[in-house]
Formats: sequence, structure tokens, C-alpha cells
Amino acid sequence: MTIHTANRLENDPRIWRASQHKTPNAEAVATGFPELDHLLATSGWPRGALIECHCPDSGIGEIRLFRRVMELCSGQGQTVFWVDPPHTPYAPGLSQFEMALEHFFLIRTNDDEDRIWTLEQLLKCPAAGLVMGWSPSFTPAHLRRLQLAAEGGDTMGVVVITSGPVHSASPAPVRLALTPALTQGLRIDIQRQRGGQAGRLSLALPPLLPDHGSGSEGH
Amino acid sequence: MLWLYIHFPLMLADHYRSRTAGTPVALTRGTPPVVIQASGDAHNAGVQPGQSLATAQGLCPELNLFPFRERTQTRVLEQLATAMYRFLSPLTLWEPDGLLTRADQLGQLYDSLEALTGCINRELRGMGFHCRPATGTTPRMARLLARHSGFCSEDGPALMKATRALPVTATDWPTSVKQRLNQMGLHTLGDLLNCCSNELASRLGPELQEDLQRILGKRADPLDEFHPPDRFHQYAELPQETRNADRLRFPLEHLFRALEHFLREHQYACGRIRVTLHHPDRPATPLELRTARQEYQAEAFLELALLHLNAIKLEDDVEALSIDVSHLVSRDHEVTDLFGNNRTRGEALAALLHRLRARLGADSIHQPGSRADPRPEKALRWHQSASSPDPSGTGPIRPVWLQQPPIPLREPPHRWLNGPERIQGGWWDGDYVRRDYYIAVLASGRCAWLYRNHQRQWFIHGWFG
Repeated sequence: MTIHTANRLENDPRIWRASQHKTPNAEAVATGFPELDHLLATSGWPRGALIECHCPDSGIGEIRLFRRVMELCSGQGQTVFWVDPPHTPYAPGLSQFEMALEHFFLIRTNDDEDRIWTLEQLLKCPAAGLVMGWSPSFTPAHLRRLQLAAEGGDTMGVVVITSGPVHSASPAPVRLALTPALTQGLRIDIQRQRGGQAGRLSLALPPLLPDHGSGSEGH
Repeated sequence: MLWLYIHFPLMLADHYRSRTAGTPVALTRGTPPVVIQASGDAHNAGVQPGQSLATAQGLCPELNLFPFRERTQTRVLEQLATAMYRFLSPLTLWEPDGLLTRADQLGQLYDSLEALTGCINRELRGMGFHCRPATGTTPRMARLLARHSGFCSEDGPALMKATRALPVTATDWPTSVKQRLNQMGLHTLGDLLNCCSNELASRLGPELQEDLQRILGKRADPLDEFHPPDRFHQYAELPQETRNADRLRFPLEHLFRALEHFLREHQYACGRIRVTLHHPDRPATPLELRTARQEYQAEAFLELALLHLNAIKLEDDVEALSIDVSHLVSRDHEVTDLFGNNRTRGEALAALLHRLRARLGADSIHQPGSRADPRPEKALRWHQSASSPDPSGTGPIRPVWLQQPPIPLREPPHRWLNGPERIQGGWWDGDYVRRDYYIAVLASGRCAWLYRNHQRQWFIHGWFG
């Protein structure tokens, strides 16, 4: 009997083996930044998963971080949804991305309950490629609902938390904190990720003005 | 020509009885109200037309009383006609409680007259309605026989004999005329027909003579043929007024089932439904449901309707519901793969957007578009539905976020990246702007789109996200 106990234990589906974890880049989208891909366990943004992104300020490059995903989604005919962003998205600015604006939708909701419901509906829908939702805070229960929806719909969800506390019990597979690094950079703090290690990276975002050299002429 | 008339002796009582799950029902009318019609079980308990409400309720304590409404009567007759249109054509409505059809034309489809009337009887019994059919060589003859006792025959002389035996009281003539005829000793139609027609016309008016001639077929009797409406309308009163959306679920489901039945029967589908919530003393609340594609199944409609109901706050009690569908399209041949998965990505997206609109409101979903206007706040335009894609911009760089309204710049920027870019315009509509735009990184690390107006004040007008 004692010999069989070990066998039975091995067959128990509740046991997780470090050696068996999902092979990387099976379902991932390249971020467009090789350094960041290298740091992420899935070698890119994971599909069918929720990315929790703590970002207190807008205008630090948080959209450029996900620009490649948006362009890829649009190229594949999938839709990009923004739910309750903090500012008005500016169409002339968006049209400078290589994405068709007909694949882009902005949704304004009335309250927290509606926002969670909307995000859940969007993440469940296979037609949605990337769903980005802004909110001051999300509770772990809400994040859990959204993570399940993203898994079910095989969509990518990014929740941008603008002020709330960092819950240690977050169910999101990837948790990032974004802070500005001076001179057009972005510091990405990977606080946790499934199947990988935490890490920190200062990313040099592509310059806003590729043709002109950045300068301070005039002032 | 042989006509078939179907008389519904207890039409409204049967109608209300099917709504109240089979309890005894009586109709009341007048002041003070008296019973004018009682369902079979109420009749067995002793309830009779002409009784006061107290007497009727004393005889049958579980009796449900409904006031007579002419509108309901018309509506029920139309519903019956729509249901019977499957079997009977041409069909004519005969107010208040009868349907007329041509038995000789239908005779080709049935073995005998008994088979036809048996089929009609069975169908109506399934819907909970009593009926009494009768035939006649003219429409009015069939009607008189049906309303009196019911007599089905294909034999002309036998029908004539039955008609002659009808009492004068079976006709629709005014009571005063019937009384005079009885006083004259003319008790049956046969007695009347034996009299000299000129004499009758001069004594009782030409209308009576004309009606007699129509009964005998000596005068034409124009009829309006009934066609089932090409739109669906149904109205349901709630057993109890409520403002609880959950309590509306079952009446709504009942209505949508009826709609599904109608759509299936006619091979129709629809994409737009109007649901109306009727309140006791306020104007009705209309709800417009739109489905992503042409639907006919009750579940799809019900889900959308419940989302709508949960989104609006009901401020007044609802006493009745009605649904209307006027845009019907014939159902296309549906392509379904082996797993019943026939929705493309576009359809899934459209269905999703309709669900969101139902809950969040019609103005919650936007798509970006731009307008050729040099002023940034005017160049931004959000439209509510997809249109032609904008050409990808190759002009000067623009931020992803627009700060609206612009906020004053409080601190000097940390680093200048670009500028100035002069934007000037709006002299044509009185909203003139002249600004010099710069891109700069602020001390907080945020990358901002700044401008200086002609009064040399600095503002933040956007963020490079």
C-alpha cells in the first residue's frame, strides 16, 4: 500500500509540478520591445489572460506600451475596446497608429457595476482582441471574474488601475507597475507573473518624433 | 354556394378563463354592473347572465369578474381569426363574435363537412374556446343558424327548412320590431316569409325586408375578406400591477413565445421589436429592442428585453405589456455547421454591441472619427456607429489623449521635444483660435502637448500616452 501511495499522489491532478508548466510563447503576442519579451515568461503579452497594470499618471507611454498589440489586433480584424479611459482619446492621434479606426471602440459606463459587467462581456466575446479598462481600483473578486472571462473568450485584457491599493491576492497572471523614467522612458516593474519571475526594466520608448531629432529649439 | 359560420358563444369568458389558469370567470357590464356572460364552470355553479355581482359571487366564491371591454372583444376575435387562417380561407370577421368562411371551397380538402367541423372544433378546443359552427346557403343564413343552435348540412332544402323554423327572436333586429312581430302572431321566419313582402316593408320598414332578402340570397351581401396582419401586435394585462422588473419576466416570456410562434408559422424573422410598458396613469414607456441579426427565437428577445428593463429604473407601476413588430423579413435559409455554430466574428461583435447598448444606453459606444478642422477640439468627432475608415494620418504628430477642457500649465517643463507648431483658424464661425503648440516632458515624467495662446498663457491640451 505504501508504494501505491506515492503513485496515487503523483496522479493527483491537484499537484502542480514546476517541470510541467506551460511552454512559453504558445499563446502570446510580442510586445514590440525585445527586452520586455525576454523578461516575460510567455515571451510576450499572454493571450487569454488579464494584465493588471498600476499606472497613476496618464501620458507616460502607457498606450505606446500596448501599441503593437492594438496594431496586431486591428490587422487580424479583431476589435480593440477602451472602457472608461481617463481622458478623451484623440482620433487624429490614434490614426497615427497603424490600425484601422473602425476596429476601435470607446465605451463609457455609468458606474463600477456596469464597468465590471461591460469588461466581462467584452472579454468573453471572441471578436474582441484587446480590452483595456480604466478604473481607480478593482477588487480581487472583480479581477477574478475578469480573468475567468478572458480565459473563456481567449481575449487579452488590460486593467489600468489609476490609484487603488496593490492587492497581494490579485488573480491576474501578470501584474505591472508603470512609472515614468525621465527623457521619454518608461520603468516597468513586473511585480508578479505566472510561471516566471518578477523583474524590473527601464524601457526606452521609441521617440515621439522619429524624423526630427528631439530638441529644445525655440525654448 | 355553401357558407360556414363559426359562432363563439363564450368568447370573452373563454379568453379570460385561459388567462386565469382555468378558474370560473364571468363578464360584467353596465351600472350597476350585472353578469352578461359566464364560463361553463361558473354556469354550473348557478351563475347566470343578468345576476348582480353579489349574487354571482355568493353562488361561486372563486369567481373572477372582468368588466366587458369592446376593444378586448375585437382583439380576441382578430387573434382567433389569425389562428384559424391556417385552416380557413377566405375568412371574414363578423363582429362581435363570429368567423365566416366558404365551406364549398374547403370541402375539396376534407372528406366531409363533419371532418372539417371536427378539425375546427379540435383546434379551438385546444386554444380553450367553445365554438358552434353552422352552414347556410347565404352568409346570413349560416350566421343565424350558428347563433341559434348550430346546424350543419350540405343540403340546400334542409337548410332552408331549418331557417324557416328559426324564431324571430334569433335575428339581430331591434327588440321593438321583434315584439311587434310576436304581437302580430309571426313567431318564426317561415311565418314572416309567407306574408306579402310589400305589406311587411310598409309596416316594419325597408331594412327588415332587405335583411330578409339577404338571408334568402336574393340580395347581394358584400363581405370584407380577412388577411392576417403583416405585423405582430399583442397586449397582455398583468394580473397585478408591479414595478419589479423580475415580475415582468414571465409575462414578457409569454409574449415572446407568442411572437416566436407567429414568426415560425409565417417563416418570418425580425430584428426590431417595440415593447411598451403601460402604466395606470402615466404615458406608456416604450422600449426599442434591436437584435444583431434577424431573430425569431424567444430567448434572444427575452435576454435583450431584460437587459433593457434592468437598465431603466421603473418609476411607475406597470399594468400591461404589449409588443409590436412591424418590420418582418422572410427567414433566409440558415447555414449551420455541424456544431450549430453559425455565428461569424462580425455577428458576434454586432450582438455584443447590441447587448452593451441595451444595458448602458444608446450613447455609450463611440468610434473615433476626425473632421478637417485645424482646431484640435473641433477636429475630434465621435460617432456612434462605424463608417468609412479615416486615412491614416501622416501630418504632424498628435497625442492619444486630449485634455478637455485644457488645463493651465503650472510648472515649467523639464524638457522640450518639439515646437512651435502654429494652429490658427475658426474665424469663419466666430470661435477664433491662434495657438503655438509644443511637445514637452513635464517634471513628473509625463509627456504633454502644450500650447501658448495669443495672450501668452500656457495650457496643457493633451497627453502622449
